[in-house]
Amino acid sequence: MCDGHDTLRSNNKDLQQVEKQWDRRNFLTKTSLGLGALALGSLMNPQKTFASLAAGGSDNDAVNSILKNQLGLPHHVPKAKRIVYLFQSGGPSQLDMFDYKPKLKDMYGKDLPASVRKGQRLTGMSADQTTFPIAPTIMDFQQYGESRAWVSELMPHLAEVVDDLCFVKSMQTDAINHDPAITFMQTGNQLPGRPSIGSWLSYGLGSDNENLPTFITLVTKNMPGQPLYSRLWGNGFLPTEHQGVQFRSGKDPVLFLSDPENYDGHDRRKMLDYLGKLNNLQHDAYGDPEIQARMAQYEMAFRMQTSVPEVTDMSDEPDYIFDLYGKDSREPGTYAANCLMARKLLEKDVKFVQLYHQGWDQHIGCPEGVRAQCKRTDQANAALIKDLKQRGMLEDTLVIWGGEFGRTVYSQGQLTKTDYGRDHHPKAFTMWMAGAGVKPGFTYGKTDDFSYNVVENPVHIHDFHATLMHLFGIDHEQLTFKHQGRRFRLTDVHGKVVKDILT
Amino acid sequence: MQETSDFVLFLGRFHPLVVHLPIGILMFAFFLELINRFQKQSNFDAVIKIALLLGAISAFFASVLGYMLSQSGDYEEGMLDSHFWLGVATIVVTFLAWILKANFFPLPESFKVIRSNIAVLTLIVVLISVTGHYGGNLTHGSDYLTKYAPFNDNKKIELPALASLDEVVVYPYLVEPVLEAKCYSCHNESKQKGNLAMYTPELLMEGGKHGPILVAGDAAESEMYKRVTLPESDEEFMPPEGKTPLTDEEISILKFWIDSVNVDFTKTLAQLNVPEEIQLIAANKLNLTYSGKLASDAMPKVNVLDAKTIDVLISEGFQVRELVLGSSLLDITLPDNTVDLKDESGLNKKIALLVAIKDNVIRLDMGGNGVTDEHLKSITVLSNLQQLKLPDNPITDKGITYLKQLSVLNSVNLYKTNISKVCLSQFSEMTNLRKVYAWQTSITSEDVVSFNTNEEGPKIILGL
Repeated sequence: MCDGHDTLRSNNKDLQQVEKQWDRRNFLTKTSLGLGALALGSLMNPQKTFASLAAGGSDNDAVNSILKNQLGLPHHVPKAKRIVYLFQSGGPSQLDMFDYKPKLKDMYGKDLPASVRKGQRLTGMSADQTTFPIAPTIMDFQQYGESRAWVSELMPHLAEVVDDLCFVKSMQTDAINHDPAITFMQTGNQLPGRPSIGSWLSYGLGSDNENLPTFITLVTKNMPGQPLYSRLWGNGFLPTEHQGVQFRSGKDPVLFLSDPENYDGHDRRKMLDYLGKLNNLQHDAYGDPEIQARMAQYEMAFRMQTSVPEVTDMSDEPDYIFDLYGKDSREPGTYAANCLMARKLLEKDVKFVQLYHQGWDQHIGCPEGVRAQCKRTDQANAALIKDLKQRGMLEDTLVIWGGEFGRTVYSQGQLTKTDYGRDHHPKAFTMWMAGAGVKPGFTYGKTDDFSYNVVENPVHIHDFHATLMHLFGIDHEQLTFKHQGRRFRLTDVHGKVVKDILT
Repeated sequence: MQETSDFVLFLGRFHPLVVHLPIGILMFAFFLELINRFQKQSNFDAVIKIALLLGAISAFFASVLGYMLSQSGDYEEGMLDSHFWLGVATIVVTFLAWILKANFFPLPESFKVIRSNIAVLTLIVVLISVTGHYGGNLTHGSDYLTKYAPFNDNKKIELPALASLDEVVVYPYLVEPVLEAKCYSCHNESKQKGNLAMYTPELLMEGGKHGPILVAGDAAESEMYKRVTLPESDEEFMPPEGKTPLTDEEISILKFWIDSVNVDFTKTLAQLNVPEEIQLIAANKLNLTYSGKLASDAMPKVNVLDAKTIDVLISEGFQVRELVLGSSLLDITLPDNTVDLKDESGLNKKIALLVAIKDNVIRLDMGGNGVTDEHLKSITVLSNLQQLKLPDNPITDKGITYLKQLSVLNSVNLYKTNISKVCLSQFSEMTNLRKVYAWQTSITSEDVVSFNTNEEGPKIILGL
């Protein structure tokens, strides 16, 4: 059972003696229960028990799957091969960016009608307000492209690519505060502990480039706002190798990957081989899948010693590409630089690239806050779309832009002609997607005149997740993982694929 | 209702296995009793006694397992009930037979007629047979036993295979299979839920207890169509809870039949104006060829490959993904710079591997690997190729002429190649081609503007 025992265990006679000293309890457990457990184990999991047989056995057996994806994936032909998720943390104001509500102009300062709010739960930050004065946006809106999509003056670059975008204006979430809302958006549950979307995809579909992680996270540096936790790209209860790997800005994109000083790494391969043997021994004895995960991570880190410096090297990018993404893109760690990095990673067939950009939480000074945020991100967003498109990658790459919720139509705090604040609003917000399998130049869903309630085609976060999985060839009801006696899915017991936005 | 635990169902599945123990043992007892009866000098009573006890005990265990299995809810209730009670009766009778045989309670002389003899054993055999028959029906379906029996003329009439889509008669080839798969189990000769039978055209038109279920030309008003398109949670939704709902394709077929065929039972597709979508569905269902506009979205049926072939591909540096598990439809990528450009035969060898599985390659990416016009010539045999990515390769206009043979190609990526505006006209001759990526070639946006005059042609996508 344990290959390599003899070569690895000590030759010390005394040690061998100790190993052989089984007490009564140990003896009985190993012989009787052990045998029974083996028999039962083979019933429950024939793959593992007979794995060695199958590997050496004949190939003539009609194997149902030539690629042996044990989860039975994909379920149907996928449209998307990779995804870049541009997460806008804090809750971007749909009212100042995409969801144009001209009728609000005449309602400036009036109290939000109770018939609209319908007793909606508010956050502690504005619930005590005596009035809820309507704050129409001060931004100019115009229609662009053949699709005549409304975009505010804050995003001149994005306006150029609206015919490639699919806007969903009727997004809905259950959470009203940042952490549960982001956790919900990224893992399908408001409480921490579930795997993130990227981990599910990595678990279900595996890697397309074994030299790089399947799931990579990039966070814009030096941004204020609600904190982000690494559990947002965590693997939850899935095997550890499916967690997202964060690439940092600066000298070392992945910490501790480079060789320490005065060590040239010439015998690392040998070291890893030996470590692998030891770990195999341990795995044979205990069967803990985390041991395998650890081995996989060591090997991945080894390959990343060459692949990461290669992919993060920006020196071969021509100037016009930097110009496309904006001058920020030359400074590592900015949103623009991360967008460019995302493209490079996607080019290398990294399956899931997740960007986080904080600072969208405009409780006060909303117009200036949103304006500054758009300035940081607008050009890079549009550039990423254009760049993927000209390389033909938009065809099988899904691009998603969105935050964890929207913002209220009423002003939090003082409303003036030029300034207002907006509180969190979970009942309606806007996201956009582009690329693989989603309709370009399309707008789905509709909110009421206050951008407060969805009046047409609501898309709940579970539906969004189901649709995302669908684009990757996954039936969201079928990809499950049994943990603590229950089978879990990304969409829990909800979710409907939004077929109307698919090509 | 509380969900039955997996373990109970796991044990339950041993019922069909264990149940053969009592059958064998009790049959054995029956034969011994027969010998006992006709060969006066033999006396097997002692053996029969043990056999009856073992039979009763094993029957009891089998029935416990059977009860566990029944908790899965997969079985039809009525028949399950009969099977259950007959099983219980078998156990009780067998125990009684054993008690009588063992003579535990010596009966008064006048009751001696009641004793375990050939009659009781015969009764046991009859009970076992009937119980077993119900069990078999539960497992395999009630027409399993008689389906191929010589006296059964209800055998399914096989529809003759067709040569082309035009010959397809809509009702028997497209609609009836849907009804058969999803409706007949409750609306047939022996079972007519809601007084509705669907197995003949006349009965189907007659409808159920609420009247007709079909309105010719108006699917939205037809009860049958309404019921299958309700939200699944609706009380009225058909098929009822627990059964497989109709697929989108099946619903499209019903809609087409009601709306466009006017609920006719004899029309063929040739007599109708058939939407591309329906043609595609029909071609897929009946294994016919479809060459219309949607051809490049349709997935061909191809030979299943063995794992060895894939292993060879992977060892040559290809990344291989199956589009749908088990389909052998492949999405193949050769990561850039896999091929050593100095090694002339390197790429040829790899392409030969692709040619060997030419029908299976649906998407192919060979960017940045020194692919030349000559290589393109050899991959034109990949007749099911829908997506081809060849950026950053020394390909010229000459190579594009070969691509025309790829009849279902819908997207080709040629960015950073040496093609020029000469090949634009080649692209427009390719009927299924929708997208051409030509950034960083000598093709300019003016070339594209003058070329893209008709809407039908492929879209040429440039960049900065």
